[in-house]
Amino acid sequence: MNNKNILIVDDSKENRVLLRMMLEDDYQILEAESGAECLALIEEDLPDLVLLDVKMPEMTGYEVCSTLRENSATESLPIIFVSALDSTEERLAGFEAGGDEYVIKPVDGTDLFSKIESCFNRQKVTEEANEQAQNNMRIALEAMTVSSELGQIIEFIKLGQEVNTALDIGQAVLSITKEFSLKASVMIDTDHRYFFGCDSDSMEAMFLAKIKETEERITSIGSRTIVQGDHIVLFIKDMPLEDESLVGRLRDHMASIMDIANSFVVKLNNEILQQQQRKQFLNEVIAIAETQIQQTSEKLAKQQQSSNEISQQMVNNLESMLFSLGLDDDQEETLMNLASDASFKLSNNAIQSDDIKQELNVIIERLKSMESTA
Amino acid sequence: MDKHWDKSALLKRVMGKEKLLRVLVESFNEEMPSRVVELRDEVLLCDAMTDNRESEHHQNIQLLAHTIKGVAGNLSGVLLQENANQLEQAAKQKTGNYQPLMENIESSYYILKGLFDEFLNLDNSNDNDDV
Repeated sequence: MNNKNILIVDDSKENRVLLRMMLEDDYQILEAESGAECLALIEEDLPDLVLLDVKMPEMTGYEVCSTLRENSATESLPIIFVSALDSTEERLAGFEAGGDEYVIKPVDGTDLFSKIESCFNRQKVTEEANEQAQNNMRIALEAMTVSSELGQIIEFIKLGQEVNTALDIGQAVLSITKEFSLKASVMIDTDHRYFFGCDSDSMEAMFLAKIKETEERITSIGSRTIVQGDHIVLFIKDMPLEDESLVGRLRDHMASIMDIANSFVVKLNNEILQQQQRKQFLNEVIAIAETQIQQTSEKLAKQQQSSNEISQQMVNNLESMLFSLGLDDDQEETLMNLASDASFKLSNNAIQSDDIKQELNVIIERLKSMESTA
Repeated sequence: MDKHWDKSALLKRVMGKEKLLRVLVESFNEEMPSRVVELRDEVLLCDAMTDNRESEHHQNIQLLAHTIKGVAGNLSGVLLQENANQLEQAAKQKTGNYQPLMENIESSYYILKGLFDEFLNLDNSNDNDDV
């Protein structure tokens, strides 16, 4: 005997006895003598198949069948009509009501067994097909989910054009982990060590720093998972362990995100390095320029002083020479004016060298300004 | 083939299960008498009415005749099945004047019942012989 339950529904005891005795060696048998009793029994305990008489008082087999088909729990329950009504119209009415098979009274045992087995086989095939369809649906949904998740990662990659600071990177990582419904914190090493999703003096921050000292790329401890790159550590606090397949996907996704985020940090570090080099270069240029200006200024000052002394000496010499030359007053005055004029022009040259010094200092100021904004 | 009881056809349908056959016959003897009486009463009441066109007796007669037809069919009571079918069809069309058809049913019923009693007695005596 197999463990399939068959419910026999017939208002005639003789018919129920006949069907029971035909089937009871092979199936578990239940009986109902009316449509109402049949529905009540089915509500209590769902059989595997119903043998349903058509013509019964109060509620016909067709009505019982239609009622069962309207209920999602019994919409695919195998139902075989057993009836003395053997016209084509009656058979069609049976199928229209939702019956799977139609057996004519008087019932032939062999025919009945064949139709019952046929129903069970069809049901098995249908169940397998449904299961397959559900599997296919699950796979399709999973593919769509993975595709959507990959879409999020692609969007994250696109952020590479926009992230310019460690803050941008940290916020982008926290944002994408949130989209995956994960709580996380991040540590990023650039010119400084930055923390996002936790305070820099918290235990969590210390833990992240400690993890950075290890070489494990992915570490899982219960629902916590740590993924690290060369310059970044991601700490996920609530991996959904109840869904193994999702956890596997999330680990892969987070590893990819860390690779991408790490490349952002590398790019950022290069930019910081270049900036520092530029600053250093400017500082060197400023130092050299300042020294040069200082030296030039000193040379100019010395040169100026020397010129002034020479011109003064020349004027003094000229004055003492004038007495011995025996010139008249006009001639002496003319020569003295020439000497004074030359001396005055030399003094003017000294003023211009101060202007040059001031102009060179403007360049120094510009360089310093560039250095501070670099 | 016996037009009253095609026993061999019945045995074939019940896959040779003699025990089942006996239970069915016993069940017939328990259930059928009251149905025949009930049907006869409905027929008498319906035929006695001067205007029975809207009477529910037609429906009751149809249902009872249908049940008797089915049970007789299951037991290969060929003539009773046929007579019950004639009354069922007549009641379906509300022809009235069902008494002659009822008499056919009763006649074939009693003959069939006699054959069943004979079978049960024979079966019992075989059992006793076995003892």
